[in-house]
Amino acid sequence: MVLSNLATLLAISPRDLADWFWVAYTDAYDWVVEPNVLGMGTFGLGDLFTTKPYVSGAAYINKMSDYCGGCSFSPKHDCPITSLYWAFFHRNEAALRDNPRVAMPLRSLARRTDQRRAHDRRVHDWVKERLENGERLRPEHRPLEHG
Amino acid sequence: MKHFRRELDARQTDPAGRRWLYVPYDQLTDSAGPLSREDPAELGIVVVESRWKARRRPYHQQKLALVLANLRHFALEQAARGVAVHHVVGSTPYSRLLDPVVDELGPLRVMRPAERELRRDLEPLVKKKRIEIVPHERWLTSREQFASAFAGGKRWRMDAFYRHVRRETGILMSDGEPLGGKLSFDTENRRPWRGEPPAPKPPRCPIDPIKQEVIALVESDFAEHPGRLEPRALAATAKDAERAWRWAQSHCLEHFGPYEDAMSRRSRTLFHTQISALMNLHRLLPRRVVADVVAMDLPIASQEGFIRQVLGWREFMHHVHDETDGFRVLPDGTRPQRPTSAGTAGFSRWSGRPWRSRRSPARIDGGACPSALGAREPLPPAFWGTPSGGASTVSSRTSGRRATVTT
Repeated sequence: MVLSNLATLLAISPRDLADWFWVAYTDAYDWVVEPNVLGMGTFGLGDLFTTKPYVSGAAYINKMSDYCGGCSFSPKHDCPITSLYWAFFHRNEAALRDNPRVAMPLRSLARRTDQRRAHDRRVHDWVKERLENGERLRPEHRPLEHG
Repeated sequence: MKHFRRELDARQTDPAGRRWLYVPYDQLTDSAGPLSREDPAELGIVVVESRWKARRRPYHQQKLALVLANLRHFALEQAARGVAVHHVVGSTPYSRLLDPVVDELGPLRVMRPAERELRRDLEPLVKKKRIEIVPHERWLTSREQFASAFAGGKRWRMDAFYRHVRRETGILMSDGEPLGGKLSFDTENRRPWRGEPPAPKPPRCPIDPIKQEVIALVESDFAEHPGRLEPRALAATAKDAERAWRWAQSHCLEHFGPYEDAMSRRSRTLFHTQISALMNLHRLLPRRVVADVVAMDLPIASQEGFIRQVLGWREFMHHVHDETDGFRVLPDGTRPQRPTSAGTAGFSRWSGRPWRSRRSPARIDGGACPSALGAREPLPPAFWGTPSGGASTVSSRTSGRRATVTT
């Protein structure tokens, strides 16, 4: 869930992610990994057989795991995953507008100021660039909210 | 291969006059199909190790070892019950490797392969009637059941399919009513895990000469593949599969339901049974694990949660894939792009070495590339093990060096 979530939030090609799961998981074969990743994991097939994109910010990960305890980001304050989450809905607002299953996050997005949306986008671009270069994400490098 | 061949020869019976089956790498059972019904003394099986398949993608070394070791142990187990075994090794697609086998042994039967990629590979032989496809008997639901679950143009939804199948099969039902009062306890499968109850440790498997030989083969011939082997996690014999399933029943299932979605740094797998790899190879049969779990005395949220995975989710995935030809033809008529060759998910970029797979026939493409949200970015190297997070504990968890299993 975490791996698909991050890939979806970062707009990773569903095919690339499916190919990765296919080689990395001992139980993956085309009939199971393609629907699971192209459809369920990334919403790459739209609402063909799932109702909504399965994405989350830091709050869900923090609730369901102890991962945040070993991380130098805080799920409540500066976790970039939450910014990625809002940047995802901002980016895909038009494509998801008619989907009743995401009405709630879209309503929250509507209340998000332009300034915060712009910051979400900056964090997204920062995460993307760092990861593409194979670099670590560190709180002190995160774009500032009022930068 | 010396040891395996010697063991096989020691068990071989006279192959003359047999009816031959081709047994793909993921159909390793004699509890269904012709192997379950016909006299072993009249049957022969053809098993194939294709280096073309192994090198088609940068498969994790553990996965290669798992498939090969299971295939070889299955071949030995069948030879021991009197089935003749024809073992083929080569570096071309399965169709090319099987063609001369048909010349030698006559037409082969095969249960319809689960993987579309293998079905496509075999097509020319099927067209020439050199291979006959017989039904795959190990799915729990039929194409007709899938269609009837969505009669009247209803949208494909896992939950609706699962509820339909529960009612049709009567599994976890009593007098037409679901056990526990409702069909799905999904909403009760969402508890975080804070250390209690303690998470079980997966059983370790004994290492034997057959496995050792496979490990040596993977380490020498597939050294450029990612990952490191964990020999003691290599469940490859029928006994290993039984041990894995007994462990899952006694150590995992009771708590599986509530913690199904939980994640922890202290346990990679929590109460997940981890049987999916063996089930997808058919070392454990879906029908059997469902029957065993129905017969167990378990909290309903765990019992139902497990059944939902095998009877609902797993079957649903397979049907959706089948109905769309692996998403190459979608119900609205759109045809997503598909590359001509299999992707490496950025492995070559990460490893700095080009990935050299062997030539594939033009009919075998690299899979459909749907992207409803227009997502097109390449997979970052973090997925292959490059440290990415704000802490070292996080980076080691995202490492691609260990093969993982779900369910």
